[in-house]
Amino acid sequence: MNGAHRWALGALVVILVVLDLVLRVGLGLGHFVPDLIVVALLLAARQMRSGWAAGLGLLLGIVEGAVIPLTFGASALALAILGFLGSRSRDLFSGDSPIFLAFYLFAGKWLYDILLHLILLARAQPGSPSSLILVSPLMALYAAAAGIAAYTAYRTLS
Amino acid sequence: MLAALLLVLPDRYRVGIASGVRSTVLLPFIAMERGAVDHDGQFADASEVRAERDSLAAFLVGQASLVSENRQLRGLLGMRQRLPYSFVAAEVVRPGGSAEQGSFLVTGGARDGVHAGSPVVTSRGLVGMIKEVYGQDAVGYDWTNPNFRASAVSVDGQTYGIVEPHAGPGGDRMLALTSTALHTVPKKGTLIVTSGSGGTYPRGIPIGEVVGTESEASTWQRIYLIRPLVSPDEMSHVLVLGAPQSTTTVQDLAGAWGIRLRQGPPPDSLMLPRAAPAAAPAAPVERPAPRRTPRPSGPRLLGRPVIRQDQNTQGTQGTPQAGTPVPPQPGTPPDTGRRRQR
Repeated sequence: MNGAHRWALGALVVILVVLDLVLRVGLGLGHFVPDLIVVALLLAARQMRSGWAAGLGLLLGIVEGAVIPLTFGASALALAILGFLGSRSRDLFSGDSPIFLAFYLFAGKWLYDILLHLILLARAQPGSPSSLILVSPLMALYAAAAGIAAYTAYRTLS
Repeated sequence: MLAALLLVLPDRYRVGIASGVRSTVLLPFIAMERGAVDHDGQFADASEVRAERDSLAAFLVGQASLVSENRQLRGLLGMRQRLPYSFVAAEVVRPGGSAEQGSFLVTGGARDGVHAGSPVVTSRGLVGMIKEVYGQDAVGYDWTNPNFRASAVSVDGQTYGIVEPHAGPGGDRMLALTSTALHTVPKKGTLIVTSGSGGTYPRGIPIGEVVGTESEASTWQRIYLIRPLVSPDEMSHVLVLGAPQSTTTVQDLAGAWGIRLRQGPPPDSLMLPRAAPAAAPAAPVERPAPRRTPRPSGPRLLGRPVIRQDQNTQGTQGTPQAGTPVPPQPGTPPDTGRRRQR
């Protein structure tokens, strides 16, 4: 990855994270907004080393956890693991097609919800298991659609 | 490793990190949310606000003499000043996301007088409680949080129990009234309010209505499904009640919602002997003095009254003092301003 691509990738991550915070926190849209922080991490992790991707996940998790302090730390750990796995997925799956990207984002977001649920379960803060089956796939689809749109814009501009 | 370390950090460090991030990186976004709420407030229906203001002004004029008389009478009887129940009007920021779990940020913190453990209500009823308090904001959780519990009683005072989150039919987010006795069966539509037991929530805050029974399988208790009065979508503007006051009387807020909460038997009354011992002398029965319903006095209210006249007959807790804030009536939008009211 050359310098220009690195800067473009950094800009994509920053824009997605800021957009997520503006829509969710600033405008209070909450559940109506796709999880752009997870999308940003998954898109960036494919082009980063495992350690850096996990570090980015930790950083984004701290920011997200600060908004929801009752689960602070859980989202940081889940995103760090997700970043690591996202980076390692390059060794298993290669491809740049929209269909692959949609599946990758869908699976990544759903995996994040499962990881978060398990971590909170271990901390005696269990969520609703039914939401993992009913709500999470829909939110994962939503995130995948938003991720494809963001990636298309990124590829067009870079 | 670092991420796992965050999980096992003591609470005060985790709170410190979260507070630091919120007061730096997230500060513009939280400020933006406050600005958006203020902007929305500017477009509120001015005629409705004016009518409420006129009603309040007229009501306060009528109450002025009562307040001075009450103060004089309390002084003559040697009673100490009744402590008012304070509240802070605030907005709620719901960040959404998978980790939310019914938690929210409140745009009012320790500087505004918010305390940890304070109940959070709206004009319709109970929302939840404040968990952690910071300088300018606080974190609370609502009734959808898995850890939410509230001691409750039916409005007829007959059925006591514990209210907790429960998945209703079709996966709807509802509440369940558990640990109830078998000998009382609340009807469908019965209003459930906080009972005040345990001291977490004051008595008389509406929670929800009974919509059915969960199952009859349990032999020693029934579980009733409760439809909460405040849905998560309606939790944008809230009132954070002040810290529990140490008064000689039980804080009963039912009157603030226009509810007349009947005094039923206490939850453990079944353990007490019903009849007096045979050897005990018969005590003279003291008949209560007949209650007179005072005629409404003062100027006619111009708009929708925030405090109804009949609350004055509900005992000492139903009569507000001058300067004592009272949560608005059902249907009345709460105050959108971020001002502390004592």
